Amino acid sequence: MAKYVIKRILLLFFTLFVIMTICFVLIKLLEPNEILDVTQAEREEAIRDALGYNEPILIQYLIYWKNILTRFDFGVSFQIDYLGSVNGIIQDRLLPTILINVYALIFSVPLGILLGIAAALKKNRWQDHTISTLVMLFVSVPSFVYAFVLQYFLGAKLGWLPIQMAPVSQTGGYFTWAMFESMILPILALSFGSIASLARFTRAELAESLTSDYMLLARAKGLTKGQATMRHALKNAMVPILPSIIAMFANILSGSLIIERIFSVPGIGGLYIQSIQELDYNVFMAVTIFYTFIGLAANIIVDLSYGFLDPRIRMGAKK
Amino acid sequence: MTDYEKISEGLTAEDFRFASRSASIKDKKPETKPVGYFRDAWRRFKKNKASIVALCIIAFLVLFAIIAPLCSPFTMAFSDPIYRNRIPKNSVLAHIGIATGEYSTDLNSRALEYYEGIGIAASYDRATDTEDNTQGIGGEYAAVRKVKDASGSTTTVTMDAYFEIGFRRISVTQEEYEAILDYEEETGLTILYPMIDSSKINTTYVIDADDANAWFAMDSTGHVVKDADGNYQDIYLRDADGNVRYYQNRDANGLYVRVLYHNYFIFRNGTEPEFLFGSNSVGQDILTRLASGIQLSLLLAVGVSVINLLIGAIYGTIEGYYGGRVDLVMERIVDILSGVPFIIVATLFQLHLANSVGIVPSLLFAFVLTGWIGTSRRVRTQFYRFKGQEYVLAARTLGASDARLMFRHIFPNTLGTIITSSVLVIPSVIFSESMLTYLGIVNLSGSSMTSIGAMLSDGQAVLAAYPHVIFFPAIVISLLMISFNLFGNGLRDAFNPSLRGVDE
Amino acid sequence: MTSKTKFRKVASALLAALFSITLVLPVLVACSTNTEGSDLHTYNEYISQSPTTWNTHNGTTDADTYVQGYTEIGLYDFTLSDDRSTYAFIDEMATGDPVNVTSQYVNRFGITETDASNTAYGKAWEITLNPDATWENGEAITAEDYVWSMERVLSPDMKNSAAATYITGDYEIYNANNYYNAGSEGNYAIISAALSDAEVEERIAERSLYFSLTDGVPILGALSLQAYHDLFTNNANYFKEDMNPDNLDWFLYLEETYGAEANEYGYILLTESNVDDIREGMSILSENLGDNLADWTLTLSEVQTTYPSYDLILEGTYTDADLQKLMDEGSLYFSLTDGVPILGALSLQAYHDMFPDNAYYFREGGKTEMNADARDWYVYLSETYGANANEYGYIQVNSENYNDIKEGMSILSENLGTDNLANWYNTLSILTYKEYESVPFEEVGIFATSNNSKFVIVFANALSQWDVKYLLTDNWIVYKPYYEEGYSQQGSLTVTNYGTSSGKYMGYGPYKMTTYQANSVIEFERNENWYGYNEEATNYHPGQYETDRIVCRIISDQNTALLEFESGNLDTVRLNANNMDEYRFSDYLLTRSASNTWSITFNSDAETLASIESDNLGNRRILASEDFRRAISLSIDRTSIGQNILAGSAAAYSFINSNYYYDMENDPDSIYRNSEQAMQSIVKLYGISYGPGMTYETLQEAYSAVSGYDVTAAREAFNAAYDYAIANGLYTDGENIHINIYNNSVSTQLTALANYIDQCVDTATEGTPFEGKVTIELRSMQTGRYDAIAQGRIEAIYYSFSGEYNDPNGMLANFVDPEVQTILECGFDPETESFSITYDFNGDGSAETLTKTYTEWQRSITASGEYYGASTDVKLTIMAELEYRLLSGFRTLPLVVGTDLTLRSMKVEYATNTSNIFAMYGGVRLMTYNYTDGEWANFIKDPSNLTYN
Repeated sequence: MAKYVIKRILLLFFTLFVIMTICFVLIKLLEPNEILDVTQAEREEAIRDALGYNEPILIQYLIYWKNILTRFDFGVSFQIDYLGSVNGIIQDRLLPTILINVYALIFSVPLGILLGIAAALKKNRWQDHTISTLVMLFVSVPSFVYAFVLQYFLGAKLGWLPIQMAPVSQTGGYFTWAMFESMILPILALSFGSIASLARFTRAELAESLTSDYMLLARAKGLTKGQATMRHALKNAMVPILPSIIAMFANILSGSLIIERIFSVPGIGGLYIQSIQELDYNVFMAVTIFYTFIGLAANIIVDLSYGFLDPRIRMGAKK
Repeated sequence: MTDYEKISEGLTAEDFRFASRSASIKDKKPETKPVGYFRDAWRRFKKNKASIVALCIIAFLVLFAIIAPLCSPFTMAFSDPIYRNRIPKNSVLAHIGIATGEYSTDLNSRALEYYEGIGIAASYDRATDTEDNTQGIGGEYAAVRKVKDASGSTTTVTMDAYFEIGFRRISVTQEEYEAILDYEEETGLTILYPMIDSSKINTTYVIDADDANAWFAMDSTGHVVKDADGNYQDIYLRDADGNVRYYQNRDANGLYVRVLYHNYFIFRNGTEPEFLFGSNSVGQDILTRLASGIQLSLLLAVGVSVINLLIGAIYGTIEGYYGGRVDLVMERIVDILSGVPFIIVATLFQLHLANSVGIVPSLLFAFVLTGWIGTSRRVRTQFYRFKGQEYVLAARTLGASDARLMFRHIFPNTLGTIITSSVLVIPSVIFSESMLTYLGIVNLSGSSMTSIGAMLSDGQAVLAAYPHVIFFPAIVISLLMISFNLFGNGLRDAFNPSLRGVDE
Repeated sequence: MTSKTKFRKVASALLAALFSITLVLPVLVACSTNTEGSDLHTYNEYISQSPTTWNTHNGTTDADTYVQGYTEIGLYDFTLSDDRSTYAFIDEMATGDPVNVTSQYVNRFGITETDASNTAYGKAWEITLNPDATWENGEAITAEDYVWSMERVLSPDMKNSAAATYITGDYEIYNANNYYNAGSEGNYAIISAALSDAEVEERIAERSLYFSLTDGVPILGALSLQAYHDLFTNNANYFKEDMNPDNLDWFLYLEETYGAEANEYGYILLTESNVDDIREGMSILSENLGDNLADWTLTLSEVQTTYPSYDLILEGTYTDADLQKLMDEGSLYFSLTDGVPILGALSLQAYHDMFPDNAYYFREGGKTEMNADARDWYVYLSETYGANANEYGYIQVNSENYNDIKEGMSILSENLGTDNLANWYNTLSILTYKEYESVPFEEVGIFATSNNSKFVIVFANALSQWDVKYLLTDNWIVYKPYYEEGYSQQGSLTVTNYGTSSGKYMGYGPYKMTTYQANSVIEFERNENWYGYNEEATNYHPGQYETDRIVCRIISDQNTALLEFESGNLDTVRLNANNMDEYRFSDYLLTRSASNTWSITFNSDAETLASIESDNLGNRRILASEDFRRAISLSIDRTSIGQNILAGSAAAYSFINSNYYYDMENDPDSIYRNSEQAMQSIVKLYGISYGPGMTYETLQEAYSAVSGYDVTAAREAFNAAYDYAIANGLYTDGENIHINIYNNSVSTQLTALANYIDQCVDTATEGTPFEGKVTIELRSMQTGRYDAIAQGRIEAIYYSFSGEYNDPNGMLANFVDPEVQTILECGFDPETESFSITYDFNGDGSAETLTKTYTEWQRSITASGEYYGASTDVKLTIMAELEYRLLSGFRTLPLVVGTDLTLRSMKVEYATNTSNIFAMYGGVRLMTYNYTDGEWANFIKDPSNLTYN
């Protein structure tokens, strides 16, 4: 098993390298935003020269890697923060995004699975229908719509919660109650989508495994319905559920692009769109690496977790 | 008493007869035709009422998308930005209280006088050169329908979203001016109204100098100056001997005229200015655009899900069945492609391909490039789940070829999940497209086409002030989501081989 | 306990926990909003993007200049006049107006006698600093800070964006461009002749004398003072009075006292304070050295601004008469050792000595006859005239040596054949003097005077006092210790993190920045050390700056900002077209016309248009016809675009909208658009005639009737365009026309705009050969669209341009001066196309007709132009005619002028509701408060108080 894990981790870095190369070439191929004013255009040209952006793309890529490997320096941003180091930019924007996503995950995963189980167990009864319609509602409406509705009613009209995430200076730090209170709305906005999809998926999987033969056998052996469900059906249903949790984590990150914009969360999401519009190469690359690495790492965790849940399944086993 | 005596207590020989003394006992010939896989699936599908309802909803939406543009008075390209962000109104339904085009709001004193002025000005009588001040509230063309509560500093009134546009100063050519005059004679509608003398307008309070609704004299605080018996006093442009003028010269040979825009709209477009689903932020009819939006979004989504299904299924099958080194290599390709976040793929495709290939194809490529991975992963997992099953081993020992094993024995098990997921891809494609539009990466809305995603994103921009703009696209996407979901569940149960014969 | 009950217990516990949190939440929340600093005045505002940097040297975006609005202040500033009707200047970091001192620096910094005599306009201006101006930490600000900071702004290795204002355009500082582009080089040279004391005095005042211990060659033709002093131990005695060893060694004394003042090239500027010591020391040396150093002043040097350059005569035919004329001017030279007439690389000497038998070429009859005894002209010329070659190896050609050189070189040219040496005079060179590009910073037009309490700034062009004050409302000083501490090297670029989140910053304005969190918040508080708050300080401002704290959130979503405003957490919010209708009647709505004009620019070059047609969407070459472009302009109703499609903007018929003033100095209402010439050009453009008895009596009436929307005229123009296009093969009958208008992003409004223009053109082309043929579409091209239209790769773009409010002519430069802005109108070359104007330019009563190119006309009224000082009528005539010619090409169609719509909260009161172009609504200086923070917090608890519409 350990050999398999090491192999997968090596492959992860290889995949990350390939993706980075594709993205680097694609972003560098774009024509730069040119400036009309002649003197400013000359200045911009001189800065691009100094930063080596007029070199052929291959050489730029080698220099880019040399900086990463030797000094773990992801280069300099020349549009978003005047020649500020990208490491610094990413560092002070990492925490808000991670906090929001982790809180959303903690809130939505247990709730989603519970609702899914409840719906599956009480299939076609009133609980199932209420939960299903609730799920339909939240899955079918785009996140920026109910984000706004939350903000409009809970924030502005009723005034229970702050309309946007408060700055650290006004709350005294990221882990104070005032800061958490100002993050509740973005967390809810991020969670509804994932609670709904997780609940629907758990319901579907559990319903299927409830009707499988081993359940019949378990009941025949005299286990109560609850025992059979807990011990057999749920465990078997987890096999497809796990990847959807990981996939959910990945799209929470991309979902947070919109939530960060609406609730002014000073995170990585907004940075990504800005770096594409202003063609700030190094910032774009850094954010891409961040998102890609998390996505790939999630894949490995998913594949390894299969083994625990269903010994019969050995990922990558021969025919 | 033995069991035997208990049973045969009251029975005699007559109670029995020979079942079939003469004919030989054989199985009856099956009268019904054999139930094929799909017929059985259809039978089970029919039993699930929810998915039938879902199918009807989808059918209804598709029909709506086809029929609505035909019977709607407005075409896709129609846009009259003067009637932008209007709430739904339909004169037929208004009688029963739906889509009345009326809303209630609070107006400060200046606003109340301004809107009351519209109704009064509309009642201008050319013969007597006077207005009827009672028409201000509740009148034929009055913007203010009725005053609900005039107690506080602001008055709560019911306003008509279409009459509140009131008058507009527009430029016309000489021929158009004559055409309006002829139309007025034919239909009796009054369109032309006296011009306003721009020198008498109180510019501190009238933001837009050529605002055709500011026809009455205002005092220095911006309030109306009423004459002795409480009537508005007009500041019309009058010629030397006091007659009002109906046009003003413009440029070399054009004219400015002041029209009651409601009637001018009827003159121009031949139909009343009313939109059943309301109008969006550039004055386009939401009903027509919604229909075309459904068409494009559905086509794009169905296209994407079918392609994803095909590629994903085949890729997953090969990967899942053979395992080992083949799986490792193919898994790495999947890793590479799935590693690249969708947003990056979509943006870079738009930036590079949009102008050469066109926006929709490049968006399709972006969806398809990474879309099939979800399906292939599920197929691969199912293969690993069933590959070790006893019946597969049995089939293999009986000499079944790889292809037969794959597609005859294992693949049907995956049908359940991949159909559900591929059906769910449809609404999620519409979703992602609306997210991309909101972030400004792609914009499918043009004069000849639009998509539900673009309409959702436009609606969000004005959600605070005009929630109705997003209401209908949101309803449609919810209906799509619910119906495709139930339809997917129904399909999953229908196609699930292990459910065959099990009665719910 | 069976697993079922266990399962149920776990599930219900979890559900209970979750629901309890959601219930208890609002109770907790209600009591947790605290009201700190209740009697302060806090102004809550927002910007949509966090600044890249607030270092004034390279801030470029609006967010960058936002911070400096509070933490820095100009030498002068704009505020509202007492009756709030117009703008007024107010002294801030300087006291008293700039003083014109041009006459003190004649023939220095490029100042000539005529400049000195001109009183209205001056090149050199002296600014007296406000003595009480300090940095945030209380340290005084001196003239040295201004000079040092300007050097940093202009430094070639930092490439700061702020340099653009000072290196080109009207406000160019003398020599700033050379310093910025070529950097600094020590081209110092010992003065040629000894100076009298009076001359030394005068040159010191002009700051043009330098003294160096380590450079320059006063002694024995080769040695610097230091080299000579250290060569032999007893040389030091030469530096002592009458060679007495125990007297003071003047070299060491001068080195200790003034050595530190030397600049990077080792030169010390001679000033009143150091001239006496230097005179005494060098006089002693001159005595001791006798004729090796005739006079003490021969140790002084000056900066060479020009250097000789010898250019070979390579093209053109020169008759003897021409050469004779050059010889009389003394600019004809001949060199044996330099210059490369032969085989592209060799001098005559090199060619002659390279191979022995090359010498034959210098002999009559050349190589063939092998006559060794014929004269070798190279040897003859170098012997007879070689000696009087100057230090660069060039002999001045005069009547004496002309014939010999001619004869010798003719022979050489004959022997080498025409392809190696076409004619004999190709060996001669012409002398010209060229300006030094790289100059030391002392030569740049800014320096401190009267021991750092004042500084003088010298411009390349003469400017009026008002212009100088206008320029000095921006400031450029930076805090030297923090600036240098933040240095880092980025390739060839020196970068500082001064004024960024990772570096330090020091302001000097009314407020100081206390908190910065990227993409979240910036907070400012009062800067106690600011002179404006302190009674005894000069420029004390009683009764202003009522704001104590400023909290600026960074909010990128417009809806969120509006919600925060409506719940009282923001004191100002910008409205867009969608939410404008809701607040139309609000008493808190402030409208102000923006400076930018949105327009469409067409590519009118037939060739490039033809290549675009390769995507066979449709014909594009039709755009080369001016009538077709004019027809499109005439078929659009700009008022309807302004009112409905791009709601809240106003129609635009010209490039310069009503925000631009041509003579702010003398007449605050001198709006260019309302001037007679400007109105005339627009009326002429749209062919409207006026006069007694006609539809329009006066010019004003005709101008106000202009709408540029004339469907009948548009039809005629389309027909004319059709005939012209058919005649010139630009269009084949029945062909479809497809025009893509590119913008960096596609929005619903812009799609509706393109759709509207498409409909207008359809209605206007009814009854013309183009009926139903033209489609106009909007496309997005996120990057590279400016270059694409300039190079003709696309056919049209949608963009906006704007300029400085007091410089309408600067706005026209965007269209006609390639050195100011890339010319977007492909197919129009402003440097070749010309037009003439008949007007009485020189005021002698008679009108003259002058013909110039577009670029020359525009430059003629810039600061360096000939008509800069001319009467405003001359300038207005030129500007109006130039704008008319540009507009009548219909290559760029102006559509609408943007409007800025803002709401202010009930908490604050602005000084005026009508915006002034310079002082806006009075700004934070004159803003007053109706509520303190505490009162406001209670006020907004009841949402019904906050009704704005």
